[in-house]
Amino acid sequence: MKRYKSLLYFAAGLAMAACTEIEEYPDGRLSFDQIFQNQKLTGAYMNNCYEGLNLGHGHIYGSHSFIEGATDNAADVDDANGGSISLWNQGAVTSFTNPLGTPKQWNLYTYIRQVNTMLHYLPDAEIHTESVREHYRGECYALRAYYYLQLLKTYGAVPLMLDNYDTEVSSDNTYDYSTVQVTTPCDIARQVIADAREAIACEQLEWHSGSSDNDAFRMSKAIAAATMSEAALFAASPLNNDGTFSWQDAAEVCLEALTGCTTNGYSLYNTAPTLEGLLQAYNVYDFYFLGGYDVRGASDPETIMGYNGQYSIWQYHGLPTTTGQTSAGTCPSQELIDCYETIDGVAPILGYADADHLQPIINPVATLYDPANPYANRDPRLMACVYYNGAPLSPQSETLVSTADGGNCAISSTNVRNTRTGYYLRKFGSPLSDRSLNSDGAIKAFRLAELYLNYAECVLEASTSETAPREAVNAVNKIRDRVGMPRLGYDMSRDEFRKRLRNERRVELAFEDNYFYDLRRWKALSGTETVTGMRPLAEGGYQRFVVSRSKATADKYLRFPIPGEEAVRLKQATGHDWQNAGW
Amino acid sequence: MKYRHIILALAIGAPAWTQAQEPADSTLVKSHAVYPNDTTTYASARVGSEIIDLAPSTTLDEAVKGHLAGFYNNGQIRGMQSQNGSPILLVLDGVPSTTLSLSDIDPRTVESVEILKDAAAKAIYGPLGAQGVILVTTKKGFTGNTVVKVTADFAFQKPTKTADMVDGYQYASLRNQALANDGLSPAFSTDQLSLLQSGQGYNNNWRKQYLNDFRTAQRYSISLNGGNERVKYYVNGGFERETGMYETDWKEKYDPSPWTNRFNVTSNLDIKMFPFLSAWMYSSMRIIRENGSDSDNNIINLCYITPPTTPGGVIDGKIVTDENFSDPIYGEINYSGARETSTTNINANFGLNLDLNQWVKGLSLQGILGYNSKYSGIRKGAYDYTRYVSDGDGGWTVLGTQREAALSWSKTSTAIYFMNFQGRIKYQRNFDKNYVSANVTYLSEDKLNGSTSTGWLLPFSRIQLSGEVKYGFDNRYYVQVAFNHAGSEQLPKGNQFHFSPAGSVSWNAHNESFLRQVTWLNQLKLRASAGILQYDNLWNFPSRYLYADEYRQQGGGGVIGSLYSYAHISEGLLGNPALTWEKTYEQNYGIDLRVLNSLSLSVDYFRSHLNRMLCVDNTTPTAGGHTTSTRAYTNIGRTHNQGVDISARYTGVIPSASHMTINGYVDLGWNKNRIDYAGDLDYSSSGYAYPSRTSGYSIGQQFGYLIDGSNGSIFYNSQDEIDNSGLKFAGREPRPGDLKFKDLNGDGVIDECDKAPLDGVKTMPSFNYGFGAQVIWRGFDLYLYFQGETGRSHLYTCAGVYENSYQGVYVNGIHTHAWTAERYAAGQDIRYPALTTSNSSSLEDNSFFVSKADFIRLRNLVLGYSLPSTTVQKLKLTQLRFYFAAENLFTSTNMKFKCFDPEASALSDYLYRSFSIGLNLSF
Repeated sequence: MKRYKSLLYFAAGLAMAACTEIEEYPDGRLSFDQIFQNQKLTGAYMNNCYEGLNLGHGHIYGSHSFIEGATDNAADVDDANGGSISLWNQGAVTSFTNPLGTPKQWNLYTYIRQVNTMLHYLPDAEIHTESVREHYRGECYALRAYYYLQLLKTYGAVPLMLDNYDTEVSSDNTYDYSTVQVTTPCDIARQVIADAREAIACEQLEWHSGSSDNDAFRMSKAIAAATMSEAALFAASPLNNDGTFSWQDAAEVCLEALTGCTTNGYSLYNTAPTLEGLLQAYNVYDFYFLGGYDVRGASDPETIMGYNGQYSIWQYHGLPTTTGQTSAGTCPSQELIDCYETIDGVAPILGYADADHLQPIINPVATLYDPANPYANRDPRLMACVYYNGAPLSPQSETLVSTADGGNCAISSTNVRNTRTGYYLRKFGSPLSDRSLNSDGAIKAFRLAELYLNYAECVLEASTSETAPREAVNAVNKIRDRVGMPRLGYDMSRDEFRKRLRNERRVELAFEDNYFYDLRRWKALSGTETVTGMRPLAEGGYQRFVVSRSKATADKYLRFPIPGEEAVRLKQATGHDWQNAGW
Repeated sequence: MKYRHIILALAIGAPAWTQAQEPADSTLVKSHAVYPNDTTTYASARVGSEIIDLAPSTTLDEAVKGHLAGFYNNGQIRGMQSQNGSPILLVLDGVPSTTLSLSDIDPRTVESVEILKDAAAKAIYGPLGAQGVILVTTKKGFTGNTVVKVTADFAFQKPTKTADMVDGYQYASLRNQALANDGLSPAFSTDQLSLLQSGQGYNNNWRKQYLNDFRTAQRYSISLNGGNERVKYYVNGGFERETGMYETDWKEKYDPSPWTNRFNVTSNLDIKMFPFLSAWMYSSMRIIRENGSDSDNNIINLCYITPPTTPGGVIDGKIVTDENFSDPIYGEINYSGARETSTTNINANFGLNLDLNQWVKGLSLQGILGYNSKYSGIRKGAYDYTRYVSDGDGGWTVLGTQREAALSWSKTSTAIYFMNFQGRIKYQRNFDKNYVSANVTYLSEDKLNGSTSTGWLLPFSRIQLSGEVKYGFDNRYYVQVAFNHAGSEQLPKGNQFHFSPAGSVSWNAHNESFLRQVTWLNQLKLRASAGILQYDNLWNFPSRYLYADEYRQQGGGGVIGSLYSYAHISEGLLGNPALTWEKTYEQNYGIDLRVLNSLSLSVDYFRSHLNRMLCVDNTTPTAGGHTTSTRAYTNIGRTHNQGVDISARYTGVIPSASHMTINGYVDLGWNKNRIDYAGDLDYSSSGYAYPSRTSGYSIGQQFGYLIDGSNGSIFYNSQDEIDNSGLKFAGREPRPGDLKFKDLNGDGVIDECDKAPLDGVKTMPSFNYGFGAQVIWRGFDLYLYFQGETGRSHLYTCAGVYENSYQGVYVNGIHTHAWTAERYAAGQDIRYPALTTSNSSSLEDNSFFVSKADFIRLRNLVLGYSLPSTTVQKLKLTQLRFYFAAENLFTSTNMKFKCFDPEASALSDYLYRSFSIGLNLSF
């Protein structure tokens, strides 16, 4: 009996334990089903979808670098500390370690998922005003178009995920990847264009971001238009063209985008600097890049999309003479400088006789070009974009930039604060900026000028006539008019016009993250290895010298590698090898 | 002769202790058994105060290292089971104390430390004790006159190993060499080099200038011990002071000198209120005050990484440095303010024991309340100073924007606590030849840990019901069954409670009739145990509740202002609604043998399998929109672990040699673990030589390139050799002097696919051992103890081995023998690849940077002399002993890079060798 008593106590204890449940403490978290049942949470989720925009300039490429340093437009000083640009140029890239961003661009899929989720629940979400619901819908399409455009530019053909929305039960492992179809870059581009058109068709979405400052960076029809213009251009370009998307199709899309913007309040910036502006800027083009972000587009009719940020050119790409400058950053190269025409519209340098680019072939017709004084009589955009030897520190300053040995901004091959090439970046930066005040411009993602150039290229490539098509020439001339360069004539051959058009694009959109991708979609990467600079000689005159030779121009560098682990996962989950050629 | 009785009793230990106490069947209260007694059926190891008290200058975790077979230096018991970490439960005087660690307990107050190793022993402690339980028992009172013990100790401590850094001229030449290797221009001109070579220019030995050769530590403690039939007490008070490794110069506004004071009081009372009701109250309080400079930098680290050619100290009243080091050492020590950290640790344990023998024989009830609270406050006086750099003309100009600022004080603090309650019913009885014991315990606990991030501010609570039944027949056959039914609020509702059973059997062969005659055989016990335990690791994850999605509404931080003022929803870890605890299946087989009343041996073999290990399923593509950092943790992993523990003891008295007493100790543990599956990617289709990076390897296995030394040299010795190798390099191209890697998959490209598991580089060392002896003769006592670990290799990528951090960190003997074309041509000894200033292909993870880190230390050397009892009695004392002790006296290791101690992980990570003198007296 006594033995059984202990068993009794035992059982009692067990029974006691069986009825207990431990209380949870609420800790303020949300469950997924709460989100779309609440107006504010739905709006907050919409805001989540925008966070992919934070991967704009300086964020993808790491610590304020311009990706221009990975092209022959510039040389980045980060070779002094093994920075990402120099690693790329050395070819130190694998699909598992990509100095230019694995897996940042790939993470755009997170925001695509959120947009897809938003689109799925939007029709029944708790929103009290129907116009707001419709506005969100338009924003979602514009965002998705923008995100897939970035994936297209970076990787080419990627999985097209349109229905991977979240559900109440954690949806991480429940998506059926065997339904993912093989895609081509043109498929992605077509989806981008379709989404962008859906956004443009949305009645509640406007052509500008909004009316109050709080609407800054919000999606607009213009952004969607610019997105589809770029997508069309990329789809038809030699790198991606598979016969399903012709230059004619691209031209139609670009025209649609261009006219949509120009008939809804967008035009090329044309305000000349006066008074205070003249302390910083030389001309209209220069002044444009110093401007801040204007959500209504009143003071700035050209910018279609901005990123939330201000450049710090004075610090990260600045002159050693500026107080607080920590790096000379991305320094324009002689190859870029040679692209600037003389003020009479003649290209001074036709090419190079040698592989090292030390022997330029000077255009006999370029009478205004003097190799001993090469910066005089050049395209106004040169002095706006670049500090060269002999340029004044600011429009009113008497001190000149001297890149000679011992000069105030001397060339150095080791110091991060001095240029590698003999040039410093001036575009976007204000000569008045220093540690105590940053007057540099706001970061712009899309502007109208690009749409003109996109259109011109599509029309040119679609045309079959002997001479360059008039519409293309007109578009380019609009750009040239704004900066005060003489117009191009209508009598050029298509090949010659292509050269002039590509040159115009390279000059106009310098340092705006276009050239890197342009070289790739033109399949014109090889031949761009050499980067040279110009050194002023003590006895007068200039001498060219080689700065570096890129090792990242083989065909495989035409596309970024899909992050290595992703390629393995996708292969196992979809059965198809998504990795780009050569990786 | 009383002192000898005390020492003898302590030294011989076993028979005296086990017979003086009741056989302790349940380990939940106190365990005094030195050797497994007849009723024990589980695997454990114990070290008592006789050894802990011998090592004067240590904390408790240091004191037990090497003395417990199966306890490794990194705090794990029997290796690691889960890749998520393996929690050890500390039980202090019967109270599970989840906020305490061994170093929080004053070793002077400790009676014994015991580790519980197999499932049968651990089961009743629940999921938090599944990897292992450490039982710490503090000293208690006894019936008798008050005994007062005083200990005083003074020690000098020196680092066991300091790296030999290069001097100014060597630094400058190596730096130039590294720059030249990278194709950059030199940092030091030939003029500067010759200046340095001739002894001029800056050539600062920072360690000599700012660091002390040794630091001091002093400890004092006094304890009172005694009692009567009603009240027994043990009270201990102690004070310790340690000084720091750097000297301070300037104390006008605040005191940045480094020192640490510790003060503790322990009071253990056992009260017998009525014949059937006894109570106890064990409490302790520990206050730690640490003082030092409020610099954000580690001063010792700065002394190693600042080049000797940097100006330093004060010149012309200005604190000088150069552009690359904006935090000069002198300024960081003296002018960076002061910080005082104050930690107060209060521990209380109240219990009542109701003896119901009158109603049911053998039955008793217990209620125990345990509480611990740790408060830590940091008071900072922030200060700053202007830095000056050379202006190139012999003068000094200001660097940066920092200036002298007014002294400003601020304070931060954290508090953690736990409180638990246990109710227990115990039954124990012997009927004829039958032995029965049983107990059931109910535990509920609330705990708050120190993190201040959102979810962690909520208390953790758990409820546990555990029990044990043991039956023994004729002191020969014992069977034990234990269970634990536990729940925690970290698991999803509906699945909060889980059941863990365990059982064990043992056979006391020495009590069998056929072995009773064998007089020299004192004990031969065979044991076997098995159990299925729940394994709670959930407190160790980035999210408080792993079963729920971590979605939170944020009021700001979004992109668009017009969307509810930048509101957005932060998406953290995804939840796993099917979350459950990890689960182990364990078995243990052991033998305990004791012969001739002096030699004992214990051998245990264990195996365990863990499944439902929490890991992320890495095979899901992120194109679905969830990145690897937000994937849910699912219970899909599996591992297994096995090992052997051996411990042996010898005690002997040689009567002919004045009763010389010899005690010998040997403790060994060996373990081997393997991850069977951890949700990782299988890279077979990608041409990987080793397609798995986790599954099939030990926990913590690291990967890297293997070195190709097939043609006699492990370096590329010329550009031609690189060009003719026929290899392409996916990462950086090698330069002459870089390491050659093996192309394991033969595809002509050196890339990720060619990485192989680096030999021996895993988290757990294979072997941990300790052995030593104590000899007591005529008042002298000598104690020697060796401790070591083998089967540990480490991949070194920190400063001190890698030379490319900061402005170059060069160690004499390693980087001075780096590859250069001249050294190669002259056939000289080359010990390191060509130097670099940023990244070279040699500085990828590879086997060159793997070094074995096995070691054996002469951990303790203690020589003491106790004055003869006649002298001592004249002084009205019962004991007076003087001693000299050395700790970590010698360390022998097979490390390739001789700049760290084998247990250190960085240049500034010092382990100390200490020399101390002290005295014990009691009266």
